[in-house]
Amino acid sequence: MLICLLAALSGGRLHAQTSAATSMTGSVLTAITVSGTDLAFGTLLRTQTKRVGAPAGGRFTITMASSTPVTINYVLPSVLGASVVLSAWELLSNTLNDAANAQQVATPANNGSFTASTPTGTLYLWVGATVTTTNAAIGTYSRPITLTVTYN
Amino acid sequence: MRRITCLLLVAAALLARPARLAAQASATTAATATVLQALTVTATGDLLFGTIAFNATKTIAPAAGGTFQVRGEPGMPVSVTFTLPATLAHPTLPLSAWTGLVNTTPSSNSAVAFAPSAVPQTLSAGSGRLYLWLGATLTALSTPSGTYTAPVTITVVYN
Repeated sequence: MLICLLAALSGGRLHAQTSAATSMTGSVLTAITVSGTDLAFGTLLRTQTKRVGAPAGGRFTITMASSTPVTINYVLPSVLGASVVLSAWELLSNTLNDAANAQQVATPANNGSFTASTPTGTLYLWVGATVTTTNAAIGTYSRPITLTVTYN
Repeated sequence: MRRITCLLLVAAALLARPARLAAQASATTAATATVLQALTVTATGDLLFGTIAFNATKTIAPAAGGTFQVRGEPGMPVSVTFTLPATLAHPTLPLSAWTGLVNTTPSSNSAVAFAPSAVPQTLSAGSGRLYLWLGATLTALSTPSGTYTAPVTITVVYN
């Protein structure tokens, strides 16, 4: 390639002249942004099961290029701490900020990914789960939920 | 011809490079929960009107009335709801003018007045304990002689 490039650049010294044209294309995409709110279970007793459904749970807002597929990778915690277990995760998505009419993405495992695109350039995700305490120690528990969005 | 071929190769090589740069963003939120001590509610004293004559009215002040004790997580506000009987188990024995006192210590002297109601109201239990006193007014109309009892229920939940 380098040889060809040098040969092409030095071709101006030849007396014969010809030309060719082609085009180079590239797409500049809107930068992806992701923001979110917590999935708050509120207060529980030391032994209790409590469900917070996705529509009332944490919400992520993703902005990106419209009609461009992305891969959304999620990492969900399996526990909040000792004897505080999370289960039955629920993930909903909608291109509108309308959880009631959102589509269920899947019944996600704690780690996974899926492909999505949005004609509006904005995608909303809601996440919910069930927390179960079994003689848990009194205190406040917290674990991260991470969402990573990448253009395909 | 050689120059044309080389130019095309250069162009093809440039085109073969990824047209889109990889773009990625992520956000981390949290799943949160707070585990609290269980709430317990104990009725520690009945609201006793004693004896009442026909066509009489008798008021029991809360400090001398029924008592409840609530135990829970210190510093956590709770929502308190009362189910209060309209009569003392007989239509001619109406109950009215319910009054209440609340304190975080077992002394009614420094307690604060509140209005017992079926509407939930938030009370703060800084010490993890609440003491409540309940009073009311009983009117005896043309009531048959006898002993009458009606339940008073208190429901307490964390806010």
